[in-house]
Amino acid sequence: MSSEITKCSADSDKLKESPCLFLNNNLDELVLLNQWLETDISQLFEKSDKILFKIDLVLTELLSNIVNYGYLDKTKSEIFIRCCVFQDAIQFEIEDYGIEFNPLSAPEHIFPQTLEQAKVGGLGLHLVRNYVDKCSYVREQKKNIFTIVFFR
Amino acid sequence: MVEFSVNHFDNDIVEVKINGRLDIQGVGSIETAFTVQAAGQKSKVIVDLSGVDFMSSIGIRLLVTASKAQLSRGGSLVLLSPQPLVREIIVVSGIDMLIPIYDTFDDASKHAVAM
Repeated sequence: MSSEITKCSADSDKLKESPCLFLNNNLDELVLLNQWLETDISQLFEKSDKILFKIDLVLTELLSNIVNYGYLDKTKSEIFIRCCVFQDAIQFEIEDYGIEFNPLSAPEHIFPQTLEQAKVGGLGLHLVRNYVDKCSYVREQKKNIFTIVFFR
Repeated sequence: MVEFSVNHFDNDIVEVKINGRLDIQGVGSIETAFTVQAAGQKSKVIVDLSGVDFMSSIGIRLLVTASKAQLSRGGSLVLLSPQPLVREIIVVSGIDMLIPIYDTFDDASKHAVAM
């Protein structure tokens, strides 16, 4: 995975930009993510396209992680998702004001050898790493900005 | 929206069929009842995933927790017929090495009893 990713707003090859999504840092808000994917994003692809499943999975895992671990004091905050579509890829930028956290710095998932050893902590980020084609992280203006790219 | 149904068979076989999304909302809505059925007592549990069209890591956790509980009770838990994209998540997670996956009920029940 490369960190050389063009920001949505600065790319001239961008075909069109789909609506953005604002969520509160509350797990109940993930319902809104599902609705957004089903309405605004799904129309960009064939219904059966595997890419929709991958986008759903990765955004679900990333947002769950932000909500569960990003706000130790439970302060109400917003999470912003921007989507843009390119000729050969779809890109999402996820911005949050949670504590500084680079998902790429998380330890590699250790596969358990037995069921007794099995823990699922960290599995979400393992899935993210496996299902995105490119991703990058920056910390700017007290925001975590994580960009993920899926090739079409 | 997620729901599940339970069927009891001979040899302590319990089939739990889940339909819907195993994401945070889905797992939250069935977790307690599912755990009672799949892990509440020693059984040979077959979790039919053919109706599950999405699963995130919390769905994996649900299955691993129930499987561990069965193991500790001397029972067993196997998975039946996950859809291809759901199966891929199970494989990428490495859980297929710990919880067997079968494509037919007959195979699943045979192996669940033998475990």
